[in-house]
Amino acid sequence: MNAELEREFTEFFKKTQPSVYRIVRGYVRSNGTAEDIASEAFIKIYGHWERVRQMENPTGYLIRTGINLAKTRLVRDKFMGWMSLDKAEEIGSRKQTEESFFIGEENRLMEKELMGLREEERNVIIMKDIDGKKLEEVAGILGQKLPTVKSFYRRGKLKLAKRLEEQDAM
Amino acid sequence: MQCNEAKDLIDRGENGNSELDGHLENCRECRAYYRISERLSAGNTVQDTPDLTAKFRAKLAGEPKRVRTARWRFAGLAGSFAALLIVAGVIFNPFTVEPVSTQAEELVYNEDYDSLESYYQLAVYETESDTNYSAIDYYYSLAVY
Repeated sequence: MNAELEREFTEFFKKTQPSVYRIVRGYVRSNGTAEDIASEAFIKIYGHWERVRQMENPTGYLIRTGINLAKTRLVRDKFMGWMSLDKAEEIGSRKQTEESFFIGEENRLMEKELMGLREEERNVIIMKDIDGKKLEEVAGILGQKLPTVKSFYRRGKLKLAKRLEEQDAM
Repeated sequence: MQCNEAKDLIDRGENGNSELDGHLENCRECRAYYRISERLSAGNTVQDTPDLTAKFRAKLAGEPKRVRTARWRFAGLAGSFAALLIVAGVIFNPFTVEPVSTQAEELVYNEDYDSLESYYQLAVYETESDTNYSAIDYYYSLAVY
């Protein structure tokens, strides 16, 4: 890769790494695994950077790559859990040592409920409220229509609010 | 103010609007929506994301280089062409022996029963396939009838 392409990729990497990390973190629920998968997603993008940079929506492509890798990892972990007792124990212990996404004990329940939302709802909420993107941007990244994204966002937040209210945690 | 308008304002972060405040006082759902929005976007509630540069560089260094030369592309094309030729050869094979039943069918059609009988006698001894054998039987019985 020439210097110009390398520079462009570095900029893209810096700009998008928090987003892809947080989205992937929502699937695998472990900081270490999320770091691993987000880096893998960047490796894949790096290998095809000449093509990806010309795409209409490179960030969306990166995020979809990250999501696919995260889902593959989850399936693999599940399968390994079935196949071998040692692996099942290892995966189980990794789940117990999950690091939190939010700061503070008071947000632990919110984290649990956020992670329990449908993936579309969770991804939109993470991008909009945590990464600070506008809904229009989120729609562009996910390659969906604005009303669809808005509907996921609102439905997800209302669901979250309701579940927290039910547990007196609002 | 309608709930949708109130939620639009909350989504855009345009709080401190007297009309919105009035709506929030009377609407439980929008109040919950407002509170969860405030909690989620408080900024200081989320852990910092780690810098992935070191991990990425380490992974990249261990990754085998993908070198795709024109020669390999040509090899791929040549391979596909060869596969296509093989498939075409199997489909349009000029050396295919005409199935017994077709020959027998032709003899029946031409009412050439003598040839059919000698064909039958010959085939009964020579054929190894059960399918052909029963096909010949069928045409022979047709001819005898």
